[in-house]
Amino acid sequence: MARVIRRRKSRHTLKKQFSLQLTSLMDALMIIVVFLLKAYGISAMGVVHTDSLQLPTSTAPEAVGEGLVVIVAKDKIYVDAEPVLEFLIDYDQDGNVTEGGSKFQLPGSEIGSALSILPVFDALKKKRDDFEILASRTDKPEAAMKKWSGDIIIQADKEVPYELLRKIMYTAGLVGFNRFRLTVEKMVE
Amino acid sequence: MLRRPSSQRRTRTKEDIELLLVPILDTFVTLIAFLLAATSLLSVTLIDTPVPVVSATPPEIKQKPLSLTIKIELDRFVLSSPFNRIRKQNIDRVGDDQDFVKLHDALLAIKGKYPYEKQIVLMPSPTMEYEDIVKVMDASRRIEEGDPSLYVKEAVKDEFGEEIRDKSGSVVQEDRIVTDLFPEVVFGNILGGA
Repeated sequence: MARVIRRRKSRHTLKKQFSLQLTSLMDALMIIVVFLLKAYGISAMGVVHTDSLQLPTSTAPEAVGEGLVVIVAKDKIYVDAEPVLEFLIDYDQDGNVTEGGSKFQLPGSEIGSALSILPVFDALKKKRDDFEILASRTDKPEAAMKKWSGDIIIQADKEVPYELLRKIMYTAGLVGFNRFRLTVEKMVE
Repeated sequence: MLRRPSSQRRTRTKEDIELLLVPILDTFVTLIAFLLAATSLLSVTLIDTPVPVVSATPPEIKQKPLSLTIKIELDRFVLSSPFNRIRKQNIDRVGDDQDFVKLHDALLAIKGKYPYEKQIVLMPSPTMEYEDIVKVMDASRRIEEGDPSLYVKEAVKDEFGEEIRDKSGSVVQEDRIVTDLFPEVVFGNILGGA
């Protein structure tokens, strides 16, 4: 008899509707989404941490910004994620990169003047021209032209020599970019 | 017996309303998965540096600027001012590394003399690695904990941003602690030169 009553009770319990309290879970998920959105905003600067691009670390205060991204990796220079120049790299007989070989060597003297780099100049000039064409097609071209910020975000590998950086900055200055924003990895304090 | 419409409405509001959170939850989970895939958890920041401008006409200034210049050579730092506002200093390399501590101390001493100066001109040698240049910027950016405190006189302003004056008409000033050393960095040899 007792067993029958227990069985009936358990059946009764199963039939009961139960609802999950999702509110606290929603709160937690909301916090995660906000955190990820913030991190996504920073990653919008397009930083890709690979073997060929290791940023230097710095104690500089946190800052985010916009601008045309120029990446100086160990093997190539990219302008707005498009490769524009490949460095000469020494390979050994097996096809591996020679240790202690030349780094960040520009291919040939015809690449530009002593201070500028021609392929980088062409790529940056094209970006500027694109902006000017777009601005000229707006209702108020003069006002649109004034929106040119001239900001350039330089993501350079930590081993890049200053000579190469200087050439890139000089080249960018020739095109009309007037503020360089050096991207660094924030040091954990 | 029929109830009045007003009482019927009242009865309806007493019912429990359950929000259907499951579809929102689904959206959130999808969003989190997308953000996790697209987000780099690397913490990066930016150091701004303007292009030095070459002006054909000399600026009208009463006093010659400090233009504190750090020449970064492979074996030493050379601190100088093109207008000889400070004594030229050499900070030699210690072992395998540059002496960033001594550089910071030297800059702190200069800041003590010129507390309103914020700009520094860097002139790295061509073979200097980018990482070492960033370290120089770090050493010259701010006054660290443990460094002696520096104060500057600053005008006291009211809630409308107007300077407060005393009875004699002179601006009331107060001491403000200086936290930055030389945060504005300009590369002095972009256009060439050593």
